[in-house]
Amino acid sequence: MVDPLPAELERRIEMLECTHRTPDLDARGWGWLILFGALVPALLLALGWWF
Amino acid sequence: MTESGADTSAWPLLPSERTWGPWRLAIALATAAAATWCYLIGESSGYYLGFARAALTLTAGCMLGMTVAFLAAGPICGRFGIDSIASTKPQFGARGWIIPAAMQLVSIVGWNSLLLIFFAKSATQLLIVLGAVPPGMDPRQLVPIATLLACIVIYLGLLRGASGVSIVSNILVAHVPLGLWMLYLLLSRHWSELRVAQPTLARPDPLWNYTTGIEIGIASTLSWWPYIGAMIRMAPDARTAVVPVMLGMGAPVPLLSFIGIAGILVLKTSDPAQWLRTVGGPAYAFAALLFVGAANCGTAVSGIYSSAIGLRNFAAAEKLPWSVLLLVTIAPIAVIGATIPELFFAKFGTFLACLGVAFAPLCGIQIADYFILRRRVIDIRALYGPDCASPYRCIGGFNPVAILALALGCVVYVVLLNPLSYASHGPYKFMTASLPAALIAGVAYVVATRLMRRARAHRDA
Repeated sequence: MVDPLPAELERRIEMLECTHRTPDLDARGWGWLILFGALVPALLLALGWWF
Repeated sequence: MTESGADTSAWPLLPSERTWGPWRLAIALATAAAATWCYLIGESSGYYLGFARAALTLTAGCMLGMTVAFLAAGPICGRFGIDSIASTKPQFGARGWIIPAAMQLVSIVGWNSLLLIFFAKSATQLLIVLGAVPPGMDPRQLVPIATLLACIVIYLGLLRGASGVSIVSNILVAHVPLGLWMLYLLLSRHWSELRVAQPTLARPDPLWNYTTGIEIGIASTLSWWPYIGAMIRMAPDARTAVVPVMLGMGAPVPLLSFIGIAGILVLKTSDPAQWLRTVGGPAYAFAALLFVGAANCGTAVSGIYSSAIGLRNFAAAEKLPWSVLLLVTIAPIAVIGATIPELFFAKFGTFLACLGVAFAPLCGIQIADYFILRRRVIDIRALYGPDCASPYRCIGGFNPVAILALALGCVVYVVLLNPLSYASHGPYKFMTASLPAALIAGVAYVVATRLMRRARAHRDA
């Protein structure tokens, strides 16, 4: 016999499963991530090596 | 605290409870990330590189590390409103998540003990300078008292849950401009010396020094992984969190680390509490103490909150009142600060440096699992369901593939770069140590999981 989930947790999970299907990252999110996580560091590293 | 108290539980937050906008999240993250460890990060870079190169490599490294840490925990935590520990259940198993949970707890409790002891030592120093120590009292007795007082203040602030973190952050974030003022002082008074200052431990190979500057930045920000989930889950979604994470957490650290770089290069000490007293007397020393107090207490508030949320994943802590859980989380820090502050300060940093190497492979495994193996599909019910019924059950609740991949990543890191002696091997200077450790752990995890699935399918057929 498996214990059921607490009612409040069950409610939250049902809501997330049924109604709230937020995507993780959209094109804009990826754009910011690529800018700050790849392009800016690459630029800084190139600049630092050239210094 | 939210109306339902969900922000003090490890349960997923509902959209209506996720009320932190980009600014609020950025401020909370900046307060969490900026602490006196920034001086130490800057000091480490300043041993190998001149000011400009150290500043640029550290900034680039911090942004790279932040990207890896965000890609590991951010998408899952932001999507479902869960914390970093809950996000590891798909990889480590329905019980195996205790491994990252232990890493989080030891890392946060360890680091925050160090930060609060650092604050207590600075406060004691200032009292000595001001002649405020009662006659006949050993100043060393003040360190435990100051640590305990800081713990009490943090405890009271956190009784309000995530809103307590936000309120405290909104006040304490003022230390960032204060830190920038210290940097201005240092640059404006010592620029000519700084331009020509030579790093004392620089190796003959410029590429090695350069890579080490990058590695210090990456490794430092990867250690923020435990904090990310507990903060991001308060924002409406992962998309909203990208810029606050990258700029709120990724930018203040290198900026404040410049103080450490400049300090060690021209004044031979990275601690502003020491050089500000020389430059401006007790008034400046008081400003430095304010900085240390605000920075370290702000970080401790976020750290203890994240740690308490992480503990909620344990069945025994699930139903504890928030005030009791907070007490359980903060008690080790208070006990350490009250009983063995000097011993802990002298010895435990080494252990934490070793523990830090595990965050790179952990992130690599999470990224590979979420984006490659699961194709961004997570069963939210399975994260909270009973162990025996969970699809993330694996073997006895533990996923041996993830555990072995984590161990392999740690070995790769240590082989490439010894985190204590900085002795390096192989292609370290071309690729850092954190990035290959994350990559190899992630690749090993994917390959081994696919082989196991294939073997299981073959056996069942």
